[in-house]
Amino acid sequence: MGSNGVAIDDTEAQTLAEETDVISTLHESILGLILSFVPIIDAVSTSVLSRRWIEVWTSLSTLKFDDSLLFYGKKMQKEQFVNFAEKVLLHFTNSSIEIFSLCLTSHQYDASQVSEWISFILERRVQKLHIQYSDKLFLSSKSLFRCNSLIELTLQMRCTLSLPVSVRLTNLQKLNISGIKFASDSSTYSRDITLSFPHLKVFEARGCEWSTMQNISLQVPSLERFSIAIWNHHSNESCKYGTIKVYSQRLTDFSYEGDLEQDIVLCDSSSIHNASVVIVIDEDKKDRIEILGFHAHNLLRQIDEVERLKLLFYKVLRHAKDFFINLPIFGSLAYLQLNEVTGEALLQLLHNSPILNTLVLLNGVANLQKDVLASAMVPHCFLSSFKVFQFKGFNANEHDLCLVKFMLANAATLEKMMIYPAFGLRYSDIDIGKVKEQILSLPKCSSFCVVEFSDIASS
Amino acid sequence: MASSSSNLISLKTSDGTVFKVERALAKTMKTVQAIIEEADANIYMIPIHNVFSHHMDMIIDYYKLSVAGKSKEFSVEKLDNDELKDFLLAVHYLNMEDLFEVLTQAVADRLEKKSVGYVRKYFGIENDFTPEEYAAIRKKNDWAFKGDDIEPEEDEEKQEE
Repeated sequence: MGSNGVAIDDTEAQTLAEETDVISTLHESILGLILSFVPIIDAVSTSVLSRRWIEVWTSLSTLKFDDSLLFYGKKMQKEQFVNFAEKVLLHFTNSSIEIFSLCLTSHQYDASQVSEWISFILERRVQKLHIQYSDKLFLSSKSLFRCNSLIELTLQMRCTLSLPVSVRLTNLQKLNISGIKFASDSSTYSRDITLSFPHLKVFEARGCEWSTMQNISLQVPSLERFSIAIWNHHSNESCKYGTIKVYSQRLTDFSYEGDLEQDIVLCDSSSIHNASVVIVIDEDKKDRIEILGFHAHNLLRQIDEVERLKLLFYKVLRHAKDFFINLPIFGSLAYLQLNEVTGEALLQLLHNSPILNTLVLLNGVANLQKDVLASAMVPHCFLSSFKVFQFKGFNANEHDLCLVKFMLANAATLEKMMIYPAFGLRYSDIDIGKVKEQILSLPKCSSFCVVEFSDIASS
Repeated sequence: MASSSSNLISLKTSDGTVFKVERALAKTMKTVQAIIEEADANIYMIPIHNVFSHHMDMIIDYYKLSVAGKSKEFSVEKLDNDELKDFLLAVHYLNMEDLFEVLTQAVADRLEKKSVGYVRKYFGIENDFTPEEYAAIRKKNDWAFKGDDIEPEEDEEKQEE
């Protein structure tokens, strides 16, 4: 309340005047430039610096609201935060916003109030929109799909968006969504739903539900990276999910994680270099394994020209023989990473990867039968290109040792074998030293092969 | 030939030191790049006002780190607030986008918990409010301030956390 702290005395005034006016204006302009980098709370407080500065903050082009940020040393109460956000938006004068970010870490905000904020922002030609909230929100699909100024869109929140038959965002370059449920506008449309993003470079969708009856056609000619994670399809639902079709010509990175219930079709996968396929299938899907194996085949067939492949299975393997029966030939594959496979599956993969250079096993092999290996033909890559084998999670059991023996005995071009003991191994009563000796004394087909043991447990 | 045959560009700082920098580095300075492009003949030496040799040293450090992919290792911690501001001005003059962003963030971070009085001094902003005006605007925007914040006379670093 005291006003005596405000007035500057004569000597101070003199000093200030000495800093020439030119320099002070230049310095002031710097403040304008850095204002977007300063937390919104501090930006607003510039309103009391001088007359000139009363309104400067209201035309900021960056607004970032984060309810976990400290307000004078303490986290804001929810009501305080809401009030603050409302006031900022009330005073806001800029007709276009470059960046708007809303991170809500607390729950149970008034959904309609937050939705109003977002609508406000969508009407201001926002370019980069980032919303993070783990509770439910309403978002006007219409406003969102009409916001053609969007360059980057990140939505990590639970809400339902209804898709019209055609969506087109011509400036969108990066899309990252999570937790969104997509439904179609009307179930009487029989055509595909088309999402057209001519400049989109990155598409990442994690844990979204694409529950439209129609197929979804993604027109993304500039797309470089496509990543999708879909799971939680319930096998007792009789409706068939629409296929997601991706039309891109420049795709280099493809990543899929899911239960294979929904088809992904890549309409031109020739440029994909790297692929990651993570298959997660619950035990209760046993009866559908054959069909899912067919879906897996369809997926892998589309990426059979990749150079690097990560292929991981969770929860499913015991029943998954079918997955490996009709493997495509991976004619360009140089690097392969697997988390767990049966001996048969591994052999099949090696046979189908004629120019494989590096193999990484994260968890060894389950169920490796000696006689399978004994009678196995030597894979082509063993005689030509296979140089590096990384065995992570090595357990020193019969299967693992059998595999190591097979590799050393047959891989004629192998240069390096790295064995990473599994974490539990050091606490077991297995004499690791003896195992190492045993391995090092095994017959080697490749005379220049080096076998190394890592002392650090693999992750 | 339209451009210099060598790959080095000579830049002369305000304190008279001449730095020979790689063309690629000069390209990150949009101001310098504009001068090069506008010149008809070979440019022998480009004067860069407002930039001192100690600024150039840091600019070259940053450039080397960013070429090696280690731009995150660049630190301005050893600079005090005024030195940082001057450096920011120099980089602003040279119009170097990436480094400018790094420095504005650094300045923003440093000002985060400073008092209004400090901020005024730092940017040379004259307080032209009358006491009544100040009280009025302060009250109006009370929602952005912690309740009983009294305007301090001196710089006061709030030692919070």
